Amino acid sequence: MENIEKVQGFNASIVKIKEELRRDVVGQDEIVDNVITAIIAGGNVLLEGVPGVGKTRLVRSLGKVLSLPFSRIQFTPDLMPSDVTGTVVIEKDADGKMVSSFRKGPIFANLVLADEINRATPKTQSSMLEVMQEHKVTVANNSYALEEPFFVLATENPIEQDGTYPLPEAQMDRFMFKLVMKFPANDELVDIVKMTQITMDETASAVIDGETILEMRALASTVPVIDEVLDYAIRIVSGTHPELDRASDTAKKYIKYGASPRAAQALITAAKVRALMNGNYNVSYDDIDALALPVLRHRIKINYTAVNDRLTVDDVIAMLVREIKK
Amino acid sequence: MNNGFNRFKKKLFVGALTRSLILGASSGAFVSALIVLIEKLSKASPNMLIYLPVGFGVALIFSSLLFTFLYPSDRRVAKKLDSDLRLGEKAQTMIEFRGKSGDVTIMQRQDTERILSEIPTKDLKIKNLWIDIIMPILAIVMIISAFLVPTYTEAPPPTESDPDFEFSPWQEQALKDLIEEVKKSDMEASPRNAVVSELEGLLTELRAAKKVSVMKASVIGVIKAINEAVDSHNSYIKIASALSKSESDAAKSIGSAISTLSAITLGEELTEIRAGFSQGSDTLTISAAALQIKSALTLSGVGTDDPLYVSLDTFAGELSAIAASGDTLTEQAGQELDGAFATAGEKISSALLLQYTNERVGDNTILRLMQIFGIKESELPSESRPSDSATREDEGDYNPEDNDDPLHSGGFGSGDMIFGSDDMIYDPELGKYVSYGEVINKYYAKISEQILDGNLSHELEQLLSDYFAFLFDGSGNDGE
Repeated sequence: MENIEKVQGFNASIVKIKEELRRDVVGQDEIVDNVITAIIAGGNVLLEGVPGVGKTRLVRSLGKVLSLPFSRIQFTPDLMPSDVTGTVVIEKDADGKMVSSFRKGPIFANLVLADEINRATPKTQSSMLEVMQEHKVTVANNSYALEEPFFVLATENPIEQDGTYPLPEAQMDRFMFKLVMKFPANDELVDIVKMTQITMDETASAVIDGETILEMRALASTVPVIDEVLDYAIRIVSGTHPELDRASDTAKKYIKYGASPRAAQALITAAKVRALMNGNYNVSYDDIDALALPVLRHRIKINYTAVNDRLTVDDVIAMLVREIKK
Repeated sequence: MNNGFNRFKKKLFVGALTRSLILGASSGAFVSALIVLIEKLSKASPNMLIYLPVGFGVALIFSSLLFTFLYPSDRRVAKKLDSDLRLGEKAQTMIEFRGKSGDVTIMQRQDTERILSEIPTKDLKIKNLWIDIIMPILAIVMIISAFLVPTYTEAPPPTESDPDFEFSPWQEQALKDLIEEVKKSDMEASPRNAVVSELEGLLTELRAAKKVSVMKASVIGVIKAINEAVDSHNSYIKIASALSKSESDAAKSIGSAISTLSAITLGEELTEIRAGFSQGSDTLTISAAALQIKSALTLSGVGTDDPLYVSLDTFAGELSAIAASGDTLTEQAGQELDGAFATAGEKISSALLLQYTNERVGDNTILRLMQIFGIKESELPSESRPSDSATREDEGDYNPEDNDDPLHSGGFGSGDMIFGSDDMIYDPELGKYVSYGEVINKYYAKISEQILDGNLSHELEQLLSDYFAFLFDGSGNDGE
């Protein structure tokens, strides 16, 4: 029953992680919880937020707390795929011979911040997304595995749309969550300013390591889910498809494209982690409800009726969840 | 399964069982009450051998079915626990993953058991308890009501309402006119006075009558009195009955003819009787006939001053005198016999006419009373209903084509031209019965006047002209 200790240690680890992160990240508790959930669940996060709200700081602090190497890639229109993945270079070895060697790119880290991913060209985007999916880099027919746990937090700048290449829906699907980082509240902003007046550096300390994350991931996967809750999650995802017989009324009215089966996988996987994080040993309806928004908001496309009714994606998802009966 | 879960399961089990029993019993009671009601509405007394077993059976079946439906399985209990106690699907997970291995699964089970053991049983509420209270109350009310409802019996036939009666001015005048008509009629004095008296008494009674029932009783009473007055005065029925019992065929024939009140029939019978007394025949039969007639008259009980009695008695006396003149009928005796028969025919016919007039005036008075006061024939006693003058017995015998002698072709009188039936017709202007021809002549005169004045349309003129031409041609049909 050694895993029982690990179960008991799971919550303790989560508590420690959050405590440490609060030292560097003020507020944004929901964002922090979801990012931690995604890391443990093995997913990636798409973070939307205006500049300066702490996206980079969050990932950097996470790297420290989790004792994981961190890298930041600033995507620009002239960024090449090889700038992300690495490239083969010809160089002299110790004997002076010219040999080719693979120079790893910034992607070779455990935690990667892909900043403003929508500024890169589709080719560069796809190379990044392929890595996210397969956790390996293939260059010149050679595959280089990325060290686990591997987590990408990509950002989109919602302000600057000129010269950007919005991610296609099929590739958006690779992100477990899409989180929206809001501008801090006044009191949070006060704390931020005070804190950064002292030092701009992250002060969080390491509390766990990558191996522990993997153990937590394995543990979370064993959390039981009853059939009714599983069915509920599936009905939510199916309900987003207006063309299906089992589509919800909300989908028929407001949704153009529904979520893929990955959404159902993401829901359950993330729900298991969330349950454990909250000290529960089973997935509940509440877990599914809480994760519906971050899982679905980047996976569905609303139609003009929703726009005309001044409804956002979040509004439509909330209506859909209310409509689906438990 | 731990004590916590079992505790809740036991509570739900008891709740389901109780509800099943209560609702089952209530259903049985409803059905029993329904059966009792149906029996009572079918005018039958409630049969305990029916409603009790049926009600009990329904209760048993319904309880069983309901308990099967409500039975708290582990899954159902877990679902209720998670829902009511907001356990976040802990109980359902514990049940669904019962027996499964896995550290997290085991921890989940232990954690849930701990939580359940800490929650008091009373925190789990049994919902819709009001059903368990309301249904039995309704069932009791239904049962009591069913037994209190009286057995249905046929409603008594509706009694006709007795509306108020108002003696209208036209009714009063019509009654007064009727009284005057009777006074002026040819009815004999005795019955006429009685009828007038009854009518005058009716006039007084009706002025005080307030209800239709009282009015009808009064009128019907007067009708009965009119019949009694006429019947008590007229003697033809008594005499005819006495004559019919005699041993003489001649006397029986005369009695039969008299009972019809028909002069034709009387004439025919007298002719036939006279023909039986041929010249040279034995006068004993004549004597016997005379004796039988006298004997019948005596037995009839009719007063000796009655015209019919006198005419028959005189006839019998003349027959006796003729029979005493010799053993056989001589020529002279035959001539005397002819004279006696002729005289008898006239006098008996005259006497019958008086009685016929009495009956006709009486019937007409009754008909008028029925018309004025709306009395239906069905409301009268059978003996008081007016006779139908169109259905006299002699009508079927009368065939004018067979009668070559217009003087004896029917009707009372001298044998003048006959129009249609030989019945007398009541003339309201004269107040007596007159021959049909007199009335039709009067009508024809009035119609002719209208035609000559040009007051009628051409079509109506033609119709009436054809009608009277048809009548005056003497086709033998009734003038209708």
